[in-house]
Amino acid sequence: MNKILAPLYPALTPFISEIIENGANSFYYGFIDLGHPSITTRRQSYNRYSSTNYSEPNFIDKNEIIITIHRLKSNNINTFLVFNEHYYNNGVSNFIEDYLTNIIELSDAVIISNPAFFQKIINLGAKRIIASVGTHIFNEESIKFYKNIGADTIVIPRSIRTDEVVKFAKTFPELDFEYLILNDFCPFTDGLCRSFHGFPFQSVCYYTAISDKIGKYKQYGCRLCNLFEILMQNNINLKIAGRGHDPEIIIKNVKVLNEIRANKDIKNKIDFRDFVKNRYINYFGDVCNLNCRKDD
Amino acid sequence: MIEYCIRIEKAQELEFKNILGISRIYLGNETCPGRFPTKAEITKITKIAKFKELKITILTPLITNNYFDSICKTIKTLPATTEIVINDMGLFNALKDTHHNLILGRLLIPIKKDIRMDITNDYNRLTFFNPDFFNFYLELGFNRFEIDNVQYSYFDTKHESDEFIFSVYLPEIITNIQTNHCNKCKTSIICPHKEKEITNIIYKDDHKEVYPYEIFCKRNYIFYRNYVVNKTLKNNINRIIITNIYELDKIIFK
Repeated sequence: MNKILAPLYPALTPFISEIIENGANSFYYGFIDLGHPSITTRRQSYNRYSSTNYSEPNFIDKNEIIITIHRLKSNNINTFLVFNEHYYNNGVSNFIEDYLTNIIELSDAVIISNPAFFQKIINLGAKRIIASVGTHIFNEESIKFYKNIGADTIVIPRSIRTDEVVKFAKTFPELDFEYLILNDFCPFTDGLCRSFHGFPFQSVCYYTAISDKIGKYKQYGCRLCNLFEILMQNNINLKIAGRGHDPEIIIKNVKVLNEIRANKDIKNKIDFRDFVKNRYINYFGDVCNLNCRKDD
Repeated sequence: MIEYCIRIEKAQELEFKNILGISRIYLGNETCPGRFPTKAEITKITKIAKFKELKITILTPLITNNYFDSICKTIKTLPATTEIVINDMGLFNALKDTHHNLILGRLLIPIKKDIRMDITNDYNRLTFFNPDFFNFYLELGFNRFEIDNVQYSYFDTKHESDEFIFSVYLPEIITNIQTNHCNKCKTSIICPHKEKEITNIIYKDDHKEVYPYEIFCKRNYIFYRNYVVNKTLKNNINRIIITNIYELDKIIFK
């Protein structure tokens, strides 16, 4: 079965039971120590989420995340620690050993961008390693490289076409793949974006003065329409983007994916797309504008 | 001693007259596999370079699956001692047993390149220098590392290490790349295969103390230009790559 992977962050923890009941199989989360913001889990800028629509995307209280992980374990739910920042200074090794070791051991996997840290994190007790979308894997040889250094799951960039994702999954049945879905925020390829986000002003890609020009880089959209072939491969899991997003949206995301995943009656792509659009409107009350990069 | 290089993609760029002081060519590009030179182009440019007594480095891009076999096949026809810049770990995986003169390209060395870097607090500056990172790639067989000529200092002076050798690219500093073009242009509005460059000034702010650089868009990437080179480069930065031969005369040594 294709698993649903939901983001986990402090504002979402009151809704964990509801999200699990509606179909989430695992959660991914980040942890930062406010004394070391530049060397911790993924954070392009310290003030990224300045809007009132967003909440803190990372756990900052170590006890809180440990309690939450134990709670999820009691429900047989897996948790994945996000450690996928692109840049680390030379203090990061001490930080990992001093602050993260027991969290690494508790989590079911660690999501990493920087290949130099794969072995280090394994040595600290990581059960599994997931190659983050920040590794920007575009071809089968890259998958082999990251598999060789310890990854058993690959997060695929949104720019990879659906048919290629399916081919990867068939070529490497021993690996799992994570397909990013919903909440498409960034027009750039994650692993190749070296800007700040929202600090101290707006992101380069969303700054109003240049949004007209940046708009010509088409965004990926929700990608629900692409799921027809994806759901035929059991080793492709659905990863909902949006740590720090409105919890109500994440709950709806899980619900709509669970309904789509559960429907086994539709046997052709056209009917499938009508079905997913119908479910999208049901939850989000908005008509799909077909302006995304839907793969044909 | 600094080695000066120019990046080119076509043979006619070598007809540019003023290349005094240049000793090496970087042939290729980093962001578009569709523009990787063919074997015939590489052969032609190699002959011209030899005549002009220039060395050659092959600059390889990030590579999607549909271009991988052709690029790999072309590179494997080159001598094993050919210097190759790697910007895709898949290509490294394919070449590691046959080619041993490998350089880690700037797309694979994660440093912050936002144009606002010089106005941020210290913790946001230069967080890339980590010996674990470079030692990992040294053990894989890379013997040189390449970075952009970002507007702040290259190294945290407390932690620099002379055992790592660096090249610096200028003036184009690539900050963001979008890779959804690599499907034979089917879904991209920006066509990377056209001969004519598409370069637009997409942002310029009057508050120059905040945004001192204009931002440009070309093909599938965003960049800014930094023409200023620190004259007193550290000993372990011994190569400068000029990203566009037509901008040679704009480089400023300070």
